[in-house]
Amino acid sequence: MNVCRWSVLAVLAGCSYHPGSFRDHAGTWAGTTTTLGCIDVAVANGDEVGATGTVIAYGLGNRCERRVVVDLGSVRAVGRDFDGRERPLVAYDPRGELRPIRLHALWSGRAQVAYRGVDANIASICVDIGRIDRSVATSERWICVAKGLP
Amino acid sequence: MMARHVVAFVVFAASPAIAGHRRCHEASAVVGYQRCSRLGAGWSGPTLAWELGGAMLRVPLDAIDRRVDVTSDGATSAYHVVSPTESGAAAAARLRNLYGLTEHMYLASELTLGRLKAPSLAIQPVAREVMSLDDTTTGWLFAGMLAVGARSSIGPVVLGTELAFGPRLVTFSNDRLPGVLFGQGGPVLEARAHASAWLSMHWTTSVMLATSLFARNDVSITFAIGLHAFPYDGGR
Repeated sequence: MNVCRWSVLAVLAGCSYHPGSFRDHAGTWAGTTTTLGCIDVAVANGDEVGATGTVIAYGLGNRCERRVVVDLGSVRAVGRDFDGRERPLVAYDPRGELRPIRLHALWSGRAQVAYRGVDANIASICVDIGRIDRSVATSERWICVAKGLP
Repeated sequence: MMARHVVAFVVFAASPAIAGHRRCHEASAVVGYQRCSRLGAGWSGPTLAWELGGAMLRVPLDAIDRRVDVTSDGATSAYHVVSPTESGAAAAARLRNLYGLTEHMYLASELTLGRLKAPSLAIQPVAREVMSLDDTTTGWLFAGMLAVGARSSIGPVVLGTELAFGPRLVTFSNDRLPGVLFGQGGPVLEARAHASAWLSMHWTTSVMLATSLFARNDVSITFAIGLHAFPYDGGR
C-alpha cells in the first residue's frame, strides 16, 4: 500500500521530501542526480517490458517551501545508436499528460516516460532537463543514460 | 465500549476527507501505459489538516417563562421559572477538520463541545408566594458546523476568512430543580476571521474570531494547534 496516497497517514509516515536526499518513501532514486532551481532530479534508465521505446525514469523532489511547476514536456531527448549517430526521440504521450504539473512544497513524485524514434537500436539516450523547473531561467542540462543500465 | 463508539463517531464526523482507495491493478508505471492513474497523481491536489483548540463562546439564550414540577422525597412541588433574554458563557473544546481544495480555498467541518454557564434563573414556588431564589445555572453546549473559507499566506502567517453554518444546542439545569432540563437550539451562521502561524512544516498555531450573522452578541474566540498532512499545506 502506498501510504503517502492516504492523506491521513502522510504526516505520520514521513512522506515529505527532504532537500538533497534524492529519495522518497519507496527508496533512493537510481541514476544521475542534479538540482534545477527548486527541483532535485534523478534520471535513470527505466526500460519496462511491454513499453515500446526507451524509458527514462525520473525522480523529482521539490526542495522549496512553495509549490513549483514541473514540466516534463519540455524535456528534449536524443538517442545514440551503436554507430555513434544521434537520433531525435519523441516522448510517447497519447493522452497529453506531459504538461506542466504542480508539485507540493517539500514533496516528491516519480515519472517514467517512453521516448521513441527511428527503429534503430539505441545504445544510450540523452535528455535535456534544463527547462523542467519553469521558475528558473532556461539553460541546457543534458544527462545521458546507457540503455540497460540504471 | 460506548466510549469507543463515541471516539469513532467523532473521528468519522470530523474527517470527511479521509482519502478513499480504489481497487485497480496498475499495468505499467510508464506514461501512456498506465491504466489506473495519470502522470502527476499525488504530486499536488487537496490537502488535509486538523485543528484542536479551546474556544470561549458567548451564547445568547432565549427568555424562559415556564412552570415545572419537581419531585423530591415523594413530594411534588410546582415552580415557576423565569429568566430574561440573556447571554451565557461557555468554555469549549473544538476539533476542526480542514480540507484544502485549492491553494486559497478550503472546506472545514467542526465539532464543539463545551461547558455552559448560563445566567441565573428566578425560581418561584407557585403554591407559596415567597421571594425569588436565584441560583447559578450550568449546562452543556454542542455544535457541529460546516465552513467554507479563503486564505492567503504572508510569509510565515496565514490569514483567512470563512463562513460557517450548522446547528447548535445548549442544555442547562439548576441544582434547585433536580430532573429539570432546559434546552435551546437552532441554526447558526457565523462570519469568521483567523490567523495562523507556521511553527514547523507540519504544525501551526492559530486564533479565530467569530460572530453570528443572526445575533451580534453571539461571539467566540478560538485558540488552536493545527497538524497538517502536507508540508506547509502544499506551499506558502
